[in-house]
Parts: sequence; C-alpha cells; structure tokens
Amino acid sequence: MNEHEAKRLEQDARAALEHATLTPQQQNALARSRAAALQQEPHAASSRWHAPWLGGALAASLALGLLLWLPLQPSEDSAHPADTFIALSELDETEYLIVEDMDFAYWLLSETELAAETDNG
Amino acid sequence: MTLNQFLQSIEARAFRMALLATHNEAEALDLVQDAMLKLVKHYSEHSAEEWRALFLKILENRILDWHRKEKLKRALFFWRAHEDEPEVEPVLEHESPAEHLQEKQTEAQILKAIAALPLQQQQCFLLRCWEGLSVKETAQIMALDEGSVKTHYSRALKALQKVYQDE
Repeated sequence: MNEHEAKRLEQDARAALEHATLTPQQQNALARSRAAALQQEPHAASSRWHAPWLGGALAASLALGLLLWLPLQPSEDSAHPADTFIALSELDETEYLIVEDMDFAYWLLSETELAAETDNG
Repeated sequence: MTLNQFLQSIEARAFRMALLATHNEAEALDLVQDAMLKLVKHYSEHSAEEWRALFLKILENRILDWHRKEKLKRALFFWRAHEDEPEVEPVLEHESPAEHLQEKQTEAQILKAIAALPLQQQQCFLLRCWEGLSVKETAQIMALDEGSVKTHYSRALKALQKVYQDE
C-alpha cells in the first residue's frame, strides 16, 4: 500500500467513525452512566479533611501546646495515682491515643534535654 | 474543563470504540461506565490535560480484560462457541441520505471491516487513526513496544484496504 492509499483509507475510516450515530437510547444510557460515575467523585473538601497526615499534625500540635502549657502550671505532686488512672479510663480511644502521643512528645523532649545536659556536663 | 464536560465530550467516542470491540451494546455500555467510574474515583484530582490519556488507558485495559474473559469463557464452553460467536455486523448506525448512498455504503463497509479486525489491530488503529495518538502514546496506552504498534497498525491498514478491492 502506498502512502496516498494509506492516507485515503485513514481519511475514509475517520469519516466513517465520525458519521456513525448513536441512538437516543444509547445517548441516554451514556448520560445515566456519566451521572452515576460523577456521584462517586471524592469530595475535594472532605478528602482534604481525611488526609492521612492530618491526624498526626493535629496530635503533634496538641502535644506542642501541652508542652508549652505544662511548665506554667503549679506542680501537683499531691495528685493520687488512682485519680490519674480514673481520668485515663474515662478517655475514649482517640483521646487516649492523643494522650499517648503527648506522653511520647514529652518523653522525647526530656530525653533531648537530658542529652544536652550530659553533653554540657 | 469540568469532569462532567470531559466525560460528555468523550463518552460517544468511547462507546463506539467499546462497541466495535465487543459487538454488544450492553457490554460496551458496561465497559464505558466502568472506565468513567474508575477515572472519577481515582483520577478526578489529576489535571484536566491528563484525563484523556488516563481515560483511554483505563478503557483500553477494560476492553482487553473483557476480551480475555470472553476468550476463557469460549474455551471453557467450547461446545457452545458457535452460539456465542459475535456476528460481524455493522454495529453502528449511519445516517443515509440517498445522495450520498455510495459513500455511506463504503463507510458502512469500513466500519464492518474495523469491527472484524483482531482486537489489538483494531485498538491500535482506533487510537492512532481516530484518536490521533502518536506511536509512542499508543504504545504506552496499549502496554506494547513501539515496533508492535507499527506492525499492528500496518496490518490493520492492509486488512481494511480489502474494502476498496471488494468494491
């Protein structure tokens, strides 16, 4: 097949495909399919709120806030361990995880301070 | 461009592609709907410029997947193969004003010949000739090397040329 014949064939094929018409039923079915598909579109705003990093960032900022706030509070050495236990047992799972994160952040900070003291000493 | 506008712009072409591959209206609709769903669910946040290539890739995969399943079904139920064999009829309708009858007949024959092509030749021809994709883009969408795309395309052209010889 020479180039001219190939071009003619391509042109005719394109015309055949473009001129092929869909029935109203087929067009309606496609429109319904499109509408059904679009209903599954993930909502942009809600997906942002469900971003995987958001939980971590929230916990980290709470932990940081607590770390800044704690040194300003009077020491409560008199608090009974049972009170702490009762308070913790009343937390739901999410709250407990946040407390755990804060504990970890506090521990990390104290370890860093300890390491700095050791280096200076 | 919104996702709705994009889908609206491509749905008829996608349906024709699927119909040529399956020879079955309901199956073609299912394939197009699946492709739409997948694009919306997984790629709606991609830029609008990427949607066309992504959609064609998804549709192509769905068509190949459908074809594999059909092949397996035919192998498993071989004694019924002749009943399930798709008839190669013109699967798309034509407007046929009398003054263009000859031209329209040729177009109908071309469509019939495209529908009768082996699947990879057919998809390759549609992506290259109709969608206007380059050899490289077609190769990426069909997960083939560029040499295979050229071979499939050239074989498709040769097969379609018979339409003129039979006239």
